[in-house]
Amino acid sequence: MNTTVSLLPDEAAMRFLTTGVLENSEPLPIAAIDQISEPALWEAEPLRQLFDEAMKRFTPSERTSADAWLAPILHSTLRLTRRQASDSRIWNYLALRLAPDYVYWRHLSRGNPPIVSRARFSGAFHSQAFARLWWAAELFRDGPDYGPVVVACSNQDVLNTVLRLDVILHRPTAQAIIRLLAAEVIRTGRQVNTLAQVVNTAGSTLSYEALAPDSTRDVDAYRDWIEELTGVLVPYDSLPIGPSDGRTRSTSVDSLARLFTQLFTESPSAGAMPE
Amino acid sequence: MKQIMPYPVLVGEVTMTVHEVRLDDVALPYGMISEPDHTVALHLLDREDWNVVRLMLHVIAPRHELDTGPWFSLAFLATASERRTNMHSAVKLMMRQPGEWTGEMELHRDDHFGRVQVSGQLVATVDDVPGRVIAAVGQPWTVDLQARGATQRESIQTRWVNFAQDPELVWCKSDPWMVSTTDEAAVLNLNSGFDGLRAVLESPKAAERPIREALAAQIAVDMWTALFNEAAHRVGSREWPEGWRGLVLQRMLPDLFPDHSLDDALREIVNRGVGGIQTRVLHAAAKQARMPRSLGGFIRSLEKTLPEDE
Repeated sequence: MNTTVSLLPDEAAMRFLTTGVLENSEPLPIAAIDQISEPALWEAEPLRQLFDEAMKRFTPSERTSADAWLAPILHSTLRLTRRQASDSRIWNYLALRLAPDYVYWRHLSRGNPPIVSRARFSGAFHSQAFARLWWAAELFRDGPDYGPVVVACSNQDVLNTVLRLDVILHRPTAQAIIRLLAAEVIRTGRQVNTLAQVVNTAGSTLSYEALAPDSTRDVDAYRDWIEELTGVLVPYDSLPIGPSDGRTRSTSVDSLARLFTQLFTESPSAGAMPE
Repeated sequence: MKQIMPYPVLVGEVTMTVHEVRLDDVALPYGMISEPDHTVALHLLDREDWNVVRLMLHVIAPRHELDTGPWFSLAFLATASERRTNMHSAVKLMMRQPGEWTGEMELHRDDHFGRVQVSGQLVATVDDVPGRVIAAVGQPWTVDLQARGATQRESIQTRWVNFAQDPELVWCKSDPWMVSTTDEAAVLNLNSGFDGLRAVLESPKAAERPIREALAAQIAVDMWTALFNEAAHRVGSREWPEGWRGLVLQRMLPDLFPDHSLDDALREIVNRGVGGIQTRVLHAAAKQARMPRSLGGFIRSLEKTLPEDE
């Protein structure tokens, strides 16, 4: 195993992801991947351990539950700027080289033959096996608090639908949605999707940014957190502490949570929903 | 904001200007700010060691309309967004006088990768509902951290040439038009040796306008299809091709994959291959051909060579 994570270009990743590979009936060409990947500086070993631990802690039938455990720890172990995290090559490398076994374990479909969707190996940030967890942690954490990330990643509809909405890039909007989930105002997948839809629609005429201002993110604190990594052992049994780059204003989250509750209960489809 | 809203919105245009850019507190030469293209060409600096860039913004909305309209508690929020890095930040600008706002927006290098869109919304209380969006900036700005081309200016040219006499075009001498491309430019060649083509395209007669426009549209569909396919063949990864190829893709991809972000749409080309998306390409090319005003080189230059019907 290589000691650091490298960068694997999309084009190459696509070439290696043959149907045989996706069905896990052909091995990935390790030597070819190593040859084309460009070295980077992040340590590979802590990540490898982390994926092993996830597969140990959860049985295959509980594999979706691994998301909520893994997301905060992955974010805390692989400390990236958003600029770095937007580079798909790092995610390609994780999936095709460092931990393809995790991708098969987590995302192999139950069809016949079982297959992993190509986008789980190399794909959009909200589909790729590791990018979706890292970004969910980045977009749903409340400053240093990963609590909301656990709520978000415990619900597959949040990961599949809410994560890709532009409105959640406004942090108080993301936090308000999570608060409704945590308070069990919304529970089922259908309710999550309805909420996502009404929040998104109302957001085209209402400015959530004006109604619920966000505090300025402390960019230097985020930088410090990245640099602190050496010497920090990320815990497995308790939530790690995220970057202290500032929490959202609670008054902003409160007012959006009230607004979203109202939008949700007034939406025509919410009333007809079975509990 | 031209879509229909369930409350009164501003009809007039909201314009935004970037009048100064400071990179780690040093003012950039004004030449890096292109007013006609609404672009700040940061990448021209060729520096990788900066941390923060500050944009000084100035926004104007039609004052008379604001004074007489049903809007209260007006506020202007400037936004900076980049889909690739999932960044979207907003700052409230200060009102200088009615209809005029100023303020500054910070972009951190750690948060961005390529093209950052700087725009904004005018927000007001309407019919007792606070926070209504009543207008958006008509022409947003782009802060470019990556691309190589200096501006967004078109690099698609049009020229008349007799194909029969041009060694590179003689092989298709009986075609009315042909697109040729190099890395730097794409050229639409119109065959002056093709009987009647010039007469129709340059006819000043209003009566011939429909046929002229139909022909121009067909040329445009052909051209956009050819340009897209040529550009798409160069897409190898998530990276945007440079120069005119990148421009063509950015312009057409939203019509090919309306539900995708630009980066996702680019990935779709990689995933499906150019062959698998031809019906979509045709659709997007037809759409480009129908909106000459907002488009570049080719139709604009045709309009220049064609006298208006008056």
